[in-house]
Amino acid sequence: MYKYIVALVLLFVFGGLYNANAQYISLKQKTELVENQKKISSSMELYFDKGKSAIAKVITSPDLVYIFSNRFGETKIYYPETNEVSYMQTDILSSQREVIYYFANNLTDQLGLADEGFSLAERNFDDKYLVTIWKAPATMELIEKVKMVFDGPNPIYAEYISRKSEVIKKIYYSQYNDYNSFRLPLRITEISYPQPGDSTIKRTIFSDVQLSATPNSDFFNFKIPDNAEPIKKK
Amino acid sequence: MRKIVLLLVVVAALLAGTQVKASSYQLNETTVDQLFDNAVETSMLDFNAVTMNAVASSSERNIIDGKDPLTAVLLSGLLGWTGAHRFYLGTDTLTGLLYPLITIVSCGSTALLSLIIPFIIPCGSVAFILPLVDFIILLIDYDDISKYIDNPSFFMWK
Repeated sequence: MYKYIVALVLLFVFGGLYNANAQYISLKQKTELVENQKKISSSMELYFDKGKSAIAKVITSPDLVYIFSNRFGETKIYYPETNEVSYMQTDILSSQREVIYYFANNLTDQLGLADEGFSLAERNFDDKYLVTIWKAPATMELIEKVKMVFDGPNPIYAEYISRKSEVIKKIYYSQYNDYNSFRLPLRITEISYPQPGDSTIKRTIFSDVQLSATPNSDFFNFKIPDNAEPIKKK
Repeated sequence: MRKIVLLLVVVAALLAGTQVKASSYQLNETTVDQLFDNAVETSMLDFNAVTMNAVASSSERNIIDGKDPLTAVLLSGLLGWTGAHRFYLGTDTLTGLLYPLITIVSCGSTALLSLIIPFIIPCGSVAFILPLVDFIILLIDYDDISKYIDNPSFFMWK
């Protein structure tokens, strides 16, 4: 009996350590967007190497496309069906702009706002919820501030307010799941108001989250074939 | 009718979200799910540019593909005759080079004409019409300049 208890304790301790050291995260993502009763959707698999801050996106629907990005925004887009590849570099495609990057690295207190130049202006409580107000940099013409609301350590709501004091975007983070070293909302609902009286709703659902200390998929070290045809910009 | 009612319910729920009640920080996911369930699946091409812009995860929505509309407007307004805004937004090299070329040709021809006909139109004014039009349309489409990015057409608004 004593041996079993020791074995269970060891399993618990080392299992926890294994998860805490897991730097390879893979998950599935389904994103749908609805506007004027029309809907578009895409499905992908994400392979995030936490150590290298590199991400591979395998878009399976509507078309099969592989996208590989690093923290510098250096991006390779590979079309396996035609064996074509294109290269680009833009901050927007940086792996450090991905939701998974912030949650996997427990940077949930600002979710990238500080990286975009926002500064913390206010911090107060609304009932049990912590509310932080982030002021946009002067260079951002559209946005004046962002309000973030936390339930414990988890961000549950973000509100983007324009310089005309209009709410232009609301983001709801829900269905949190604990992965030992981090927590991830399995559902993110984003409502944008591109024009007054008009709204677009984007729903992102994560599933099949797997953590590993070693690469558990070839996409973590995927090499684009040498004979892939580069796509030239027109 | 059912869709309209559902939409109204969601809009009402969202409007309530602007109030500072703690409960407003959570969304009625069932209602949102119903909205998605009732929506008609369509192709990406049917969605307008504004919608695609909303897909972008960048919080500063009007910066598309790393191109700042303000920079594009300033370049077209101040250095439009050099084609700087076209090079910034991305275009064929030849298209971009046509801008200064037209300016040089236009300036040269009007200078020669002014020797024969006094009070000829100011030097190169024809050459400035194109960047002026570019400047105006960039201002009009300031919120979504995606169609002007990597646009190889000489007339970028076409």
